[in-house]
Parts: sequence; structure tokens; C-alpha cells
Amino acid sequence: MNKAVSTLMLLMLPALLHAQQLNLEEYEVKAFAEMALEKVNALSNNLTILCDKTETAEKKEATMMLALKLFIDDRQTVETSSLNSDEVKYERIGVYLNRLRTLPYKQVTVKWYDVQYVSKLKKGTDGKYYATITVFQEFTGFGPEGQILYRDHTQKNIDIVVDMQTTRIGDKEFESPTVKLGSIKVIQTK
Amino acid sequence: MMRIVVIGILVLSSHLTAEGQIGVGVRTGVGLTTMTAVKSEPLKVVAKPGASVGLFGEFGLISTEALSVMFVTEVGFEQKGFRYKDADGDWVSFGVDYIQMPLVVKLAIGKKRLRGTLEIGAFAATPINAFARNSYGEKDRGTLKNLTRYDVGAILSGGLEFKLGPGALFTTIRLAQGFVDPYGKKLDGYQVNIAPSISLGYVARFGKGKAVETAQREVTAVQEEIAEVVKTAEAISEAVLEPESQSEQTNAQELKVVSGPGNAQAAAATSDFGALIQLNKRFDAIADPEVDTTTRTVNATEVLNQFIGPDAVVILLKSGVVVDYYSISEFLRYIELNHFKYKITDREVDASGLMSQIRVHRID
Amino acid sequence: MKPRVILLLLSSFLFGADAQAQVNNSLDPERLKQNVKDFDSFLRRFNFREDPMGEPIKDTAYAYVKVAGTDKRINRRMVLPFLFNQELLLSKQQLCQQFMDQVLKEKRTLSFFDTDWYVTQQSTVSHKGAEQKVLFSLQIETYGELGSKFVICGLDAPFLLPSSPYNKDRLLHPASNETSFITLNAALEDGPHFRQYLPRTYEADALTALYMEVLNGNHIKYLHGNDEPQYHLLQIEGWALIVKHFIRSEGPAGWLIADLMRVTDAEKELYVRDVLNVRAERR
Repeated sequence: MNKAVSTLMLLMLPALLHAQQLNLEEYEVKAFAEMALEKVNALSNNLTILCDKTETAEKKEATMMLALKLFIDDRQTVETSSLNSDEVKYERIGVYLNRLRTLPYKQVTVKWYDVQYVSKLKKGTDGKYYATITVFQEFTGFGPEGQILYRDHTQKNIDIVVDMQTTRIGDKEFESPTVKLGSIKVIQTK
Repeated sequence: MMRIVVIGILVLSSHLTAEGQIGVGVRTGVGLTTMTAVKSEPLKVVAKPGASVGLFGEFGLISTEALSVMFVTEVGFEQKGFRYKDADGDWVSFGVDYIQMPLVVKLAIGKKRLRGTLEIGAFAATPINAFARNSYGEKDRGTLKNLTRYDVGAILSGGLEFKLGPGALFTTIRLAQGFVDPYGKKLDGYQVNIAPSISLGYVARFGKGKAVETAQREVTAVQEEIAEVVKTAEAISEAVLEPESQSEQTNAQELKVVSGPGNAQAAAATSDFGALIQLNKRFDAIADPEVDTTTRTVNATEVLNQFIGPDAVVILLKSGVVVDYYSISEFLRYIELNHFKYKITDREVDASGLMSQIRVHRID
Repeated sequence: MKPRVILLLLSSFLFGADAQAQVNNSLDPERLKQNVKDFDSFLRRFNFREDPMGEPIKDTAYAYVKVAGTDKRINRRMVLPFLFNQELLLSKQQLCQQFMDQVLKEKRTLSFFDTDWYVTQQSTVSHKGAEQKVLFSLQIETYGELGSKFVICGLDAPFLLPSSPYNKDRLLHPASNETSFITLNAALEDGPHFRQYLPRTYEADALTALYMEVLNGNHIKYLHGNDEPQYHLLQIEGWALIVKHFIRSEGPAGWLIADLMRVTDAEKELYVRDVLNVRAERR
């Protein structure tokens, strides 16, 4: 009997695996790409708040929580390279966001240019859908007298993943595809 | 004659008020026209060349990337007739000129600039001129009195069209088969006109085609309808809930005074539409960067009071697709920090009248 | 027409009279649209499915692009040169022209799911406490409806294959066969000189060495990528292309053809083996 059961399981396994595969229609792909852009915009807003010395610690803490929720998990990495040097910084997202809280500027402005590009969603063999969002950012740090202490322009390539997720809210569980942000590659352009 | 021209213009101009893509075109052709006997002895006639010219209008019914279906009406001039050998062995050409009005359904198939076309339909025609010409070139103008004053028949044609400018250049091979005996009064038996021809022409097309809608667009349309209903109810409710303010613009700051069950305005807001409208206004206030922190906090508290708890569920939608889930407390923080404008499309209420779940979509 | 002239004309066509004003502002939104932002965008522009402003093109031979408020009509021949790095276009003008002529004549297109194209990623790893530079070669593998994934198909990691100069004293002597090769015992204990017991022509495979290191948990850790990946496209008959990322404030920028070579099939095999370090059968 056991042998029969295990044989049956082996036969069923491909079907079971297939059942977990996402198969998105084009309109769904479009909807998730839109949501991914919204999450990237939310990330931009969150970064601005984290960098802002005038914001309260309580607000920054809430912002950190919301920002981390945008990502697949806290193991996602931010890789930063510089045009001027060979130095490459490689940090977990939590560490990166925390570092922004301690920047030495009185005030910062983070400007995201209205050219946000989503690459085509591609299906991986794990059944998840992957794409990259490219955004262009101008970061300016101001000193106490309002003088510009630092300015850079960067291109950020942000991984996005659409995957079947279980979201728990209170005592309810929801199983459905959701889009999350993955690793970020930052390229300093100027 | 004038009557025919007027009818033709009326038929063509009716397209200008119709929906869908319209087209206006001109066609010219040559063919070999003859007669064929139906249920009688075969005629000893042969075909004679005939020319045709027509002005037509197209009315788009269906338009997709690979297929267009159109309704076409036309007013045209057609030369029909036949040739036969008289008793002396000389060839005589007998011709009748018609004003013809075909009505066809046209299919244009293909994705590229060059497409295939197929037309199936019917025509009605009336003779306007008749003549006989012998092999010596002598022409004798005939009388229409002996001819049947109308002809009706079927049309089948196929061809190609090549996109050029705002329309297309086309060529077709057409077969027009009459059902009425034009010479019934004069000839024994029953014979009908048959006119194969080849045409060349150009049609200019205007307006946006009506594309086939996907199920997803239907969902979006339903959502937009819901938003419209809510908007209308909002407009009505403004007169009820805020009788002092006749302004169409809602001032988010005014919501500061809307609180507590004892308040008459809150009582009015317990109606279904009223509640949704109030909620949406509060969302707007929470997301508005111009609104001060205290007002935003008050509105957030009022919102939370209408839910079963801070873990009530908010489902985010994009074009009808569920894309994310938040608790209501997280959602309020999300829209406040990011200044995202969301509106409710649907809600679930428990026995106590408090909301356990809402569905929202972004409007900015 | 000389390519330099073509380039100048192309520049004025795409970037307009204000090209000079835009030079110092690499984040001008109009300029950002013109960037070939990722590899997918490079493929779409190569196939004339995206115009130089990043807008999609439907299945036609012509498209219209808005430049400085006016509509300009473009075709694939006009758009292809924008996918080349300017230095390449100037230094190998005839070669680039021959390549474009062939692509246009054959109506050749590229797909992400083609075989015979590779990505290399220069990286830094930590191996037994020391930082080492490694070149990964990767290729896309497709599984039909089940999706696709990148696989590591080649590796350049000299530290994983230490050299072993010839040593006459390390051998399985010529009479080993008569004693059922008892000498194999000593060979397998002679780690630093084990290479001496293998054929003269034996070439160790770094990818297999990496596999064994990872399998055995031998302290190899990925630290970070150095620079952007490079794409090696070999699927067009007779040609090899290298696509790299260019960040600049003037002229075409983004993912562009950095190098172009005329190669035979045999030369492609050598390239895949020696430059990309792929030992498996070329796919």
C-alpha cells in the first residue's frame, strides 16, 4: 500500500508543481507592472523621509517598516558603484535604509525623473515573473545654511518579482500573486 | 434621374452620422457583360464589353488588427447588355445603361498593408439608357419602354487592397448576377443580366475603428461606472450633508468638524452612499500634503472607528486585478506617507455595521 | 557618405538644435528616453520594435518619431546606427556598414530566447579568506511554458586551478599495470602534484572546480559584481557582437554595440572556449 501511495505521489508531483505555477494573462501583467511602479514611487517617498533630519524618529520608524514591506524580504541587497572609483558598496536593504537615517545633511531633496521604465516581465522556471524597473534620481544634500553640500545623479535598477504570496492580516490569510521589490543596483552617473 | 441622384446622396450621407470608422471611395471598372437564360432555351448571345464607375460609402462594423467588417453602399453607373448575330450574320451590340445601387458586407482580412477583401451582397438598379449598335458603328437609340424598369440581383467580389495614405487603393473582381428579366416584354423565355468585371479604385477612411473589447476592459468599464455612481451620489449628498456650502469643491479642512455619533451630519452619513463618500473624503484628506497633521490624524481616527479593528482588510486593485493586501492601519499610513489617492469600490460590513473589508483603486 | 557625416546628421536629427544645451544635463528627461535602458530595449530597437525615443513601434516598415515637436519618419536603416557606440562606428565604419547591410537584407532579428548568446559578469569572490576576481559566463536556458533561467556555463577563475609545473618524479611508473596499479594510492594522496598523473593534454575546467568547492562548502562566497555585465551575441551568421553599457552626456548612451567582429563558425567555437571559458558543447 505504501509503495502504491508513494508511486501515486510521484506521478502527481509534476501536476502539483504545475498547480503552483503562475500563468498571468497580459492584462494581469500590466496591472502588476503598474503596482510595481507604485511601489518604486513609494520607495522614493520613503527614502526622502528617511533622509530628512526634520522628520520625527517615530515617523522614520513607521517609514522603515513600510519600506521593508515593499521588498521580498530583508535579505535583498543594494549594490552601489561609483563612476569616480572602483569602490563597490554592497549592503542588505535594512542596513542601507538605516544608513540613510544618519546622513549628515540638514535637509535633502530626492528628485525622481518622470522616466520610469519597466522591462518586460519574464517567467522564471520557478514559476515567478521577473522584471527590472529603471529610475533616474537626483539627490541633493543641504547644509545648515541651505547650501548644497552634495549632489549626485544615479540610475537605479530595481528587481521586481511577481509571485504567489500568502499575506496574513490579523487572523485572515490571503493567497494571491503580489509584486515585491528585490535587489537594487545603483549606478552613479554624475 | 434627379430622384436617383438624390437617393444616392442620402444613402451615402447617412454614413456620416454613424459610429465606427467611415470611408468614402470611388471605383471604376471594365467587364464583359452578357445575358444568360434561366429555365429556357440558351440564348445565342455573347458578351460585350461594358464600363462602370461608382461612388461608395463604407461603414465600419467590426475592426480588429487582422479583420475589418464593413457595410458598403454605392451609387454607380453600369453598362450591361450583350452581342448577337442578326439574320444577315452581322454582329449587333445591344446595350442598356443602369444606375446601380449595391449593398454589400465587405470583409478585409490581413494585418499588413496588403489585405484581401471579400464582398457579398445585393444590388438594385434602374435602366436609364438603351441602344443598339451594328458592326458598322451605326447606333440606334432604343426606348426604355420595352425594358423592365428595375433589376435586382446578387453581388460577389474578391480582391486586394493596399493601404495608402488615409485609406487604401484596391482592385476587385466582381460578379453581378441579376434576377430580373430586363427584356421580358420583348424576348421569349426568362433571361437575366450577368456582368463579371474588374475594378480599380481608392477609398479614404476616417475616424477611429471600434475595436473588439477584452473582458478586462469590461471590468474597467464597470469600475468606472461605479466611480461615476459614487461621484453622482457625492454631488447629491453634498447638498444634503453640507447645506451651507454651495461650492462644488470640497474643502478637506471642513471634515475636521465631522465627528461623533451625536452630530446630525454624521447621522446623515450613515446611509450607504453617504458612508462611502465620507470615507473617500477622509482618504483624500489623509493623503493630501496640504492638510495639517492634526486634521489628518483626526480623519485617520474617524476612519478606523468605522472598521472592526486595525486589522480590517484593504484589498488594492489595478484595472480590476487584485495586486496587494494591507491592514487598514497600514493602508492609512501608506497613503499618508506617499500621498496616494485611493477610492473605495466595494466594502463588506459585519452584523454590527462596521467594515471588515474594503476594495480600493488608485485615482491619481 | 562618410560615417562621421552620418553621425552628425543623425545627432541633429535625434537630438535637435539644442543638443549642445543638453550636453551637460545627462538627466534631461528627453535624453533619458533616448537611452537604451536595458538589454530588452537594445533587442527591441535592433528589431525595429522600439523607436529611438523608447516608444513601441508596431509591425510596420516605417514609424514616426516626435523630435522637437515635429514628426519625423524613420525606418530600420536609420535607427540601427544608433545602437553602435560612436567610437566603434568611426573606427570600423566599413565593417559596421557591412553588418547593417546584411542584417537589413536578411531582415535578421534577435530574441532574448535565442541560443548562442552569452553574458559575462566580472565579479569578486572570497575564497579561503582571500578576495579573488572571477569572470562568470552565463547563458539563458528555456523550458517552454515553464519559463527560463540563466545558467553558469563558463568560468575564468585561475585561483581554482593552481598551476603545477612538470615534475619528473611524480608518476605512475610504466610497470604499474603489473601490480594492479597500487601506485594510484600514492597519486591520490599527492594533492599539490596531482596534475602530473593526468594526460599532457588535460585541461581542468574551472566551472567543475567551482562546483566542487561549493558542493564541499569550501568557503567560497560571492562578494559583489565589478562593473556591468557584457553581452556576447554570436547568433548572427558570420558576426560576433559585444554589447556594453555606456554612461555619457552626449550622443547615444545606454546599452550599445561596443565591438563587432567578422568571425567564422570555427572562430566562434574558439571564442566560446577561450574567451567565454565555456567547455560544454556550444548551444
